[in-house]
Amino acid sequence: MNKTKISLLLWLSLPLVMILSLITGPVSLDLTSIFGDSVASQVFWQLRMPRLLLTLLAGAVLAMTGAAAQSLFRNPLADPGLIGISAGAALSAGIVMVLLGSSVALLGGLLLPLAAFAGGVVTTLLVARLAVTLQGVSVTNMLLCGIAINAIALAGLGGLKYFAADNELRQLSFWLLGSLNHSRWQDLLVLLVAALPVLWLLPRYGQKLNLLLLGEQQASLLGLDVVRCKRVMILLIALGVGAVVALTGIIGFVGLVVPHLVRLMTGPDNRRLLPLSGLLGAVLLTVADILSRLLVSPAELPVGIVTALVGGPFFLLLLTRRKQESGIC
Amino acid sequence: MLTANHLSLSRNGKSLLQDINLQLIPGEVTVLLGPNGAGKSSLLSLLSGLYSPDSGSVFLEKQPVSGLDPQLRALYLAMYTQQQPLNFPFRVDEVVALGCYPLQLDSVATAERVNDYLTQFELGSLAQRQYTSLSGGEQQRVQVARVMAQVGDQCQMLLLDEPVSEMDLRYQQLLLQRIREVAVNGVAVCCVLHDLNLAAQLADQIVLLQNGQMLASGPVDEVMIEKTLSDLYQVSVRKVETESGPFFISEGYK
Repeated sequence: MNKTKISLLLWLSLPLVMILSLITGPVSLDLTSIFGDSVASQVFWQLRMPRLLLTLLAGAVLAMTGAAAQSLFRNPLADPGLIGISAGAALSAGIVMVLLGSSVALLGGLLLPLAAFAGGVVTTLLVARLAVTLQGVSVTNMLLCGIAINAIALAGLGGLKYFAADNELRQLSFWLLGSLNHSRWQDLLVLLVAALPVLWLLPRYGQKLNLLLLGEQQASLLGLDVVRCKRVMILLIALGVGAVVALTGIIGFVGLVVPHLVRLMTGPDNRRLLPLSGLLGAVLLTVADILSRLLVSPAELPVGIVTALVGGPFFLLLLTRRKQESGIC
Repeated sequence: MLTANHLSLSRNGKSLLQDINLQLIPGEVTVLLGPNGAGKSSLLSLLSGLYSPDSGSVFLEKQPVSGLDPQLRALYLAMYTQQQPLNFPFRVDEVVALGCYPLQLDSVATAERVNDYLTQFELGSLAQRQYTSLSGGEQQRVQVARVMAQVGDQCQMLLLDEPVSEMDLRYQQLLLQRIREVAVNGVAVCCVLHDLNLAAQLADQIVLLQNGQMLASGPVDEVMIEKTLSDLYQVSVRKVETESGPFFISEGYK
């Protein structure tokens, strides 16, 4: 299958899963009843539609930032979830929420995304400092750093529960698991503000990230301003991941699995990888969200559980293959 | 012309280079020789502007290399580094195409140039293969081809750090010929080699480095003499004159 066909197929699957998502849920809906003043129309416009759009954006951002992080760290295992960026963002948002209590709603709901963004920047810089050496990227350091940050964030978020009021408690556990439930139009607006620059700018760095994959010195010799490029990448990754984490919690493995699938189909060229990862990420997270509503219907699972149940084994599979290919994955 | 004046460099309190003075002349090939750890790679990194010297300066024509805008530097100067950390499965032609990046060609011109360099380095049959699936020697040939594809009309300097270390005899000779062609076009070339015979075959000027200092520099006949080389490498080196030039034989670890 050639590359044009693959991207055509992905684009065609998008409206399909969108419709599926809109008609799936505890209240059965047919699309003729969505106009007018019925319960069905309420469910459609106030619950399903914002949820779908939020899911699409979150999936696209998670997958695209995952692909960018892997090129930045020159390693296909560098998923923002695994290396701790998501956890750092969640912890930072959690601290701000518990400290501020009810005044957290100030700034039009932008405060938590901003806190998550700041947490994301700090963690990315930390991982970059610890994992990137003159000789290249130390995978061991990168993953160990992720383990440490994930552990700290987990403990931190757990500890915050002691200081949290009741409604904050729900929010804290929601961050740990990742959920698309309770998506509202105003959340969507906040995510749009962060996601649009990320989704717009990252694909423009495709060729520069390709140069970076040759190595930092090699990229510099080919005319890339390496320091500046890395700085922009770190900010965009942290912005995207931070915003998604603030609104949906930690949804793991999308940033790992999706770029991997795209690379298998079209190769590692970031000029194709980034946009197609965004597209496939949107499609797959929507599918995961549909599953999360179907598996224990009429209740629903947090979507982070679904992505972890699919992504975890996938990660193990990657590790086995990596072992066979002696270090190159 | 590239001029290096009084270059010194130290890292982590260890002095790597002391007071190096060097001129690289357009059309000439300079070969750097010296034992492991003598400072050859560090010197190339200083000449290319990848590192900044603790003291001294490097000028390309009249501009300091370290002050050059990266894009401009990539047009004036190409360098093959010893380490090539690429571990993503790009196709061979994609890797070579990355070398054309500084030249800002359109996609048709890029494809033509890539084809040209694939042919020049006999990589045509590997063009669609994944870089990561190649042998060490093949990978080196691909990376060297990428660097050579970067050498455009405006290029003044080509720096090569052990570019033949993994190549077989045929491709060593192929690369030497390509380097000659680049030099003939008015580019100043500086190349690190370990094979004394290849060095003698390629060089217009030889520079010997020892413990971060320049031991000697000059034409092959003046610099590559038995005693100097034996002292430099701490192993006995014999020079045999033949009709096709001098040959060097090292014998006996002592």
